[in-house]
Amino acid sequence: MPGWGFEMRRVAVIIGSARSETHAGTSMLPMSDRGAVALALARFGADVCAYAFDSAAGCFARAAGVETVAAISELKTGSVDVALVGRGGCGADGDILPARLAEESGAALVYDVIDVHWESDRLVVTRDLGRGARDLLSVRGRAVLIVSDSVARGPYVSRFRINAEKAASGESPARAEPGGIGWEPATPRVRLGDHASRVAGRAVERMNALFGVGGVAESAAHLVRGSAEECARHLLRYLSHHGFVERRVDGEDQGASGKTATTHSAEPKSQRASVGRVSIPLRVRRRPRCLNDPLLPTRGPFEIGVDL
Amino acid sequence: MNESAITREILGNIPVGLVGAFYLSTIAACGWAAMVLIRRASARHLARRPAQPPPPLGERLVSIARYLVFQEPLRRDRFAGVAHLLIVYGFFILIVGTSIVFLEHQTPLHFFYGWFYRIASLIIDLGGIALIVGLLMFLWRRHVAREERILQAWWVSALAWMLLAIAISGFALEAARIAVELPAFERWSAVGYAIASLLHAADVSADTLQVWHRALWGGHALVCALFFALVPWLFFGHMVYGAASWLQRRQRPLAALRTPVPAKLSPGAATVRALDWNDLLQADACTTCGRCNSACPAATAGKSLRPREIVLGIREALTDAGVAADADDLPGRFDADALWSCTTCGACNQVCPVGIDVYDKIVELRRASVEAGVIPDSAADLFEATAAGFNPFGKDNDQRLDWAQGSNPPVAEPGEAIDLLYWVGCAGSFDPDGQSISRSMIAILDRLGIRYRILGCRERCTGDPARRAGEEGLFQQCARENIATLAGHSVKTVLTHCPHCFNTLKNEYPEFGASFSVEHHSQFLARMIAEGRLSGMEGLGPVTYHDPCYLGRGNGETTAPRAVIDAMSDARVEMPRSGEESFCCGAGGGGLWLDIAGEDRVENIRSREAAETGAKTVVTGCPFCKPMLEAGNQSLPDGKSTVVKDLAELVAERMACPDGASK
Ligand code: SF4
Ligand code: SF4
Repeated sequence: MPGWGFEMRRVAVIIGSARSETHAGTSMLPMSDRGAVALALARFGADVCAYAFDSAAGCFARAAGVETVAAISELKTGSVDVALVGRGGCGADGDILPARLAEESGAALVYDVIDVHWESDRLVVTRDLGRGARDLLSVRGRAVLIVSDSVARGPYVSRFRINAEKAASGESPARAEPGGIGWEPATPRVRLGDHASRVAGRAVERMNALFGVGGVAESAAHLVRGSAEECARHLLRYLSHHGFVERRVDGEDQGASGKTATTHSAEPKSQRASVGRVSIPLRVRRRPRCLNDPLLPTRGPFEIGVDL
Repeated sequence: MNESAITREILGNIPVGLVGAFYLSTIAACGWAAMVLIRRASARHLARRPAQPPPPLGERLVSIARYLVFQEPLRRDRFAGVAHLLIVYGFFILIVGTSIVFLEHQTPLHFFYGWFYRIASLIIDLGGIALIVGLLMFLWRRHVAREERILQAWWVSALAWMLLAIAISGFALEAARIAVELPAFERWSAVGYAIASLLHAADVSADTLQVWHRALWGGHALVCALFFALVPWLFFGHMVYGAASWLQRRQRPLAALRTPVPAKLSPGAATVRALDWNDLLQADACTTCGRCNSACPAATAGKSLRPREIVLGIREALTDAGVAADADDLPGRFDADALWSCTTCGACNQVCPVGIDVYDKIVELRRASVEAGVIPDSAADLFEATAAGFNPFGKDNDQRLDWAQGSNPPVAEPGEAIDLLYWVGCAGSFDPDGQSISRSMIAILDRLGIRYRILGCRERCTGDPARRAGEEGLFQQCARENIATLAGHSVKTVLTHCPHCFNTLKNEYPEFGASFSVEHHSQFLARMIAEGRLSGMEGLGPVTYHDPCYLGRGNGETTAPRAVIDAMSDARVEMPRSGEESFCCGAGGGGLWLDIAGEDRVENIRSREAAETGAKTVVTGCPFCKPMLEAGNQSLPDGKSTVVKDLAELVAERMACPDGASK
């Protein structure tokens, strides 16, 4: 792309079926993952490569028309310039994967993305703030975009096409489960499976679980394992989440390495935190939609990222 | 008088050149028509082969003979039925009469004299009268009464006017011939003789009569030749294609959708050739009568769907494609809202006089839209909910048994053999109206001491809404998974209160390997009443019964629900449209979710009809109809609204209070 200093062509969608998070046995991808594929195809066409967490996601991507589909294990740092990540594509560990990807490849990390398009030498990203409010972000550099569930719905991908892809990849198109599921009591209940405990419940509980704090963290699998630096970053994130440390608002330290950092002065203080060299945007907490509330305006574009 | 003198000279007054011209033009016209028919057949045969082979030849011949002789499908509209019968019989008689004259004239056979001549002349004249009367009836309807459903197009009127010209010119030339000598035995040619008598009385000279006769003969011959040439053309074509398509027709319950094959090809009619030969033959057979439009609930509610226009659009697409490459976007020819308004009620198929499977084509177009990914969001929601949670209500399948809290129905253990499975269905599991039906059914079954099982959370959507909305792949996945589950329990009989599940399990699952019998709860309850196991429920006040499309029209079951009602009430009143001729509630074909806007709502129309009977209770036998009719109730003026109940709810209530406490 002109002005970028390198060929910004490598666009990836990172998707997964998030099977554990939704309904047992389903092969439906979350809305954000389907939307990410549709958005990528609509905006970047043939340049797109899909990285799939599971075969269901891979088959979906192929059925939707993505020509190059690879397993997530093949995703290498620095091999992608723009990544659109769905909720299923975040994997089972929340948003750690996109955060790491952004950090390691020096990319801007943007959450709640509902649209993106090229505009001469930059990428214009639309962020959904809820209740109709949007931010337009102008990104000049690599970007990891976490797609929102409220992204526009893409063309429907039929089961016939997905099943045809499954059949082509050797997977049984319709997994019959005769007698596979036992009697379940009628009372509504919370599933207690390993994955479910990681993603069920309120954000605070999930955060506690991640750090082994609180009642639900009975499995060590939840704990973060990494370098001292990485653990410190997550600890800071935990502390900032609970308000123990002050959140950085603007003028973030962009680091000496020249890696991209987000600068978003217009966002409210409470919505951002910055830890070390990597800014960590917090998800906008959505207020319940009130029918009488007027839709909020679109703001921006705000410049984020640096010229490389 | 010598019997052999009682005849007439054939082509006596006609110059040889004119006769030769007639024969040549007739041969040319027939040759042209044959060529057009063959070209059209070639265009059709570039399409897909029909999924199922046609029925056995004997069956088909009987069916076509019945169709041509009795014209039963036409008689739903008595006026049109009578008119058409007169035309067909009259036309047939004239064709036979002309053939007799031809044989007498051109072959060594000699039989057209004496009593045979007299009687043949009389019958041919009666045939001519029948033809004219029938045509005038149609023309009156078209041009004077101007009925709304009639397609006001000149190419439709052209056939009637042309046939009228043939019949009248035939009588006129007969009169001119008879008037020259006015022999007494020609009285048997009743019409010709009567007109000839007038000409005679008017003292028209023999020479003039002969000139008139020659001119009329020439004109008559010309119109006949033109008629033959036009036989394959538009409305004229229904004479050939109507019979041909009826000959290919497969008898089936109206609600049963066919499975598209070959399975490897993408489902749906993305192009006109993705339809099958029979679909295209049927499109050619359309008479444009508009009965489908009149019967269609979506059209009645002011939505943009007009089933006739779908059929004619397909015909036009075939004409445009011809035998050239097939690149047309068939669904793109139609208004998307029209395609998604169909409730798959089957009324169009039912009323079509030439047996066109109209809504099947709409489903094919929907299938193509689904494969292209261009569908309304509400349809995508429906599919995604079914794929994700195995039910179209968007609920977690783990909540499938929530309806049963407190009633503790027996859920089958994995692998347990089941003689009677109560199939609850998605509406019965997740929709509050349906849940109440399920609870009633459990109460009835328990009270009767019947051993049964339910599948609990292993039950999944049958795939009916997805299939009707065009998601064939999803339906087939649902079908295979359900069939595997049922096979794991060696299920013998499935009992269900949902006509949609009933239809799918009974008529569509066998294609995927299912082998169990299926009973609707109305049939089960009627059987229990007949066996004396259910009694003492009398005393219910005036009720009216709404026939669910998928039970009544779709599967012909209209007596069992009435037997159940009659065991409770001796004041059943019928709506004007009832039984197999019932009017849809608007929920079928995914309508419960799709909800395409129109000037009115289908459920409101039906609720008004129900309220107009004066009955305060509307009974139905479908968990989709019930909430729809209840919604329709909201549109009724104060004091007019009705109570909507399912058969099972009424039975359960009255079983519980046989003394009439709650009656
Ligand atoms: S099936 Fe019913 S709603 Fe659909 S086109 Fe036919 S009559 Fe109309
Ligand atoms: S489809 Fe059938 S009912 Fe409809 S206009 Fe054509 S012939 Fe008449």
